Amino acid sequence: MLWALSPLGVYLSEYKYKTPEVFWRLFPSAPLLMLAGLAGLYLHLFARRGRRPGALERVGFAVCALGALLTVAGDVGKFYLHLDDVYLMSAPAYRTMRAGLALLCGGALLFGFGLARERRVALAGALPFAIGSLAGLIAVLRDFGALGEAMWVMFGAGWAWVGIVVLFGEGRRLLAGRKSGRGRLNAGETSI
Amino acid sequence: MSRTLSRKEFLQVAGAGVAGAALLGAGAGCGGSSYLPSGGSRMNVVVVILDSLRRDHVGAYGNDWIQTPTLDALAKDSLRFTRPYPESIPTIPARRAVYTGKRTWPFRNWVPQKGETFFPAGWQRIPEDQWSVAEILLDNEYDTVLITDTQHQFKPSMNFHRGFNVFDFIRGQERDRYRPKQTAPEELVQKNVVPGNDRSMVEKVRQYVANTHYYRNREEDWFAPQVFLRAIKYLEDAARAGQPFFLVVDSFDPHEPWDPPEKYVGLYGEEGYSGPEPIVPNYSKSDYLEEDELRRMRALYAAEVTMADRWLGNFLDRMDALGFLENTLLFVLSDHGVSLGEHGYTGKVDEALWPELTDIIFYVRHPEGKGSGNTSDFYASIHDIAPTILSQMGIEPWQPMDGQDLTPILEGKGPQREREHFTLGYDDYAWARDERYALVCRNDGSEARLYDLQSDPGMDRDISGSHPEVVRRMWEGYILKDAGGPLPKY
Repeated sequence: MLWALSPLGVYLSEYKYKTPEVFWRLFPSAPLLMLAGLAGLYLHLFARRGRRPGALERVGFAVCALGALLTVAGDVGKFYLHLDDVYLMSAPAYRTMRAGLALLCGGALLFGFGLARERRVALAGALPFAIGSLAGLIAVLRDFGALGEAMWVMFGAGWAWVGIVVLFGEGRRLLAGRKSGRGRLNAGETSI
Repeated sequence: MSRTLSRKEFLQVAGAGVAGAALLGAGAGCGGSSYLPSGGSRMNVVVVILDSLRRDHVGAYGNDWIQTPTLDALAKDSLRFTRPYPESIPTIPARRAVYTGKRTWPFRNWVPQKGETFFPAGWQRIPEDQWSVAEILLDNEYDTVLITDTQHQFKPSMNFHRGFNVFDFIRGQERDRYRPKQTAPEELVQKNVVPGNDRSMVEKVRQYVANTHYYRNREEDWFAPQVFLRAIKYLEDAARAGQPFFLVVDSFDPHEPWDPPEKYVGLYGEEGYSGPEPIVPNYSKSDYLEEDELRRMRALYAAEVTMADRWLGNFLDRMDALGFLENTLLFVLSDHGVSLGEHGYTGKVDEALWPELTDIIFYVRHPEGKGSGNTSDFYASIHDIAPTILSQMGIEPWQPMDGQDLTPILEGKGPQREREHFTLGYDDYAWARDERYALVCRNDGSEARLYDLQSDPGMDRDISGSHPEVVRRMWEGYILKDAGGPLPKY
């Protein structure tokens, strides 16, 4: 959601502080939280349940994680360490951040399609996540104005949505398990 | 429950998501900055202006006797334009064009300013409805710095320091009202004027002597060294404080008064000259000068050119030592020349629009070596600087500019828009040229003089009487067209 609200954050920073830089200094929290959420989802789907992730999911997760870290590193380098004020022409921090944004969205796209293909998560959650990732990837490649802002928002919204769907699905499974477990818990098992 | 999603349902989900996010995005992004972080390659920008430097007084432009090693070396490292011209003359109209990227000529809506001492058309501050490139770069987080001794820019009604974080005015040049005139020792004043100098020029020298006589002990006390030393100091500070910066080093030298240290005069002056020093020219016909005085004036001018070139060299050496040549876009240019008797005039007379007055130098050095060592015969001009800077920095201009982005030429391609001809103006006179002819005339088309540049590049033989159709064609198709209609009369 933080990601989805980014365009508003840029606007508020300009309005209050006459520069978007205040917003961009706070921005690293968004990709870091996304990474935490993705890692949590990955662990939940595969490590906990003992399933093997497919190639798309593994590559997608790795690329996404790398992208998130590069985005944070670039942001810190540009807005905290001001590296690009020293290395004017190579602008390493800015380029790292833009590369990170592209990898974050591209990795999420691969991961999302892997989830959808393998039905790891309900399609109602996986597909918006994948489509939102595609929109995000397009948005970060260049400035598309208001359309780009909308696609940027879709990326964050898709991420939030898949989280809601997974939580909802887990909630339903737990409730279903409790209801059926009252009668059948330990049924057929010899008590020790 | 089916675990698959039909294509129709997928499209419905995707479409609803896009529409919803578009509404959210349009609401969230309320204009202003991009949703993406800004940044990328940037460069520092340095613009060096050498007032009154004639094109024919630079070795790289074909002069085989003058010593300008810095400008000659810079030509090997830069794109050098072989036919650049100012779009307007003299100093202040030219500076307006440099900073705004807009043509100052044909000087419409000129309002003479209070506190002024010189009143050619177009001589006024940057209009309030025009933006200086310094203001735009400042808004884009550049440190903007102006270091200059061109005192016209800091007269009471002027505003050329608009948009500069730092403006360092070096006082005392020419007529700058820096010290009381009456403190000038009279013998020193008389030593630096010739009998033919008019009263205005004698007063110019008097003010100049009052400004300078009491402190000059070593070369660093002269104006060109002061300007470039202060610019070097800024570079050293910038290396510690950070970048990027937009630095304008605007040296009034080699504009008169021409009184460089003796070691430079010794390079060009005749031995044994014992007459008064003609350090300032009358802005008139040159018949007030004796022959030896005219030769002396030319030697003094050449000496001042060499001094300015030397200190430019010191500045560029320091830029190099600090690593700034690796990341700085550099422009070196002049704003106009000066007449030294070639066509019977000295100084800057508005009707004397011959090559010695109109022909300038123009170099662009790109840190990545674009255009390095190349030449271009494009009619580059001073109002091309601002659009080129903004294009190179990836910054949108805040207003339409008349100048062109020279980047395509730097990259070895053709110009954005061809210039089949060029026009310029000075007060009540206009000038135009194309590949074959040059035309000079009054703003109403009268007193036309036409020159065949192929057979007469020095513009010594007026052929307007025998080619009236060419005069008419150039007047209507070049001057009136570029001016957007009849020229104003003041």
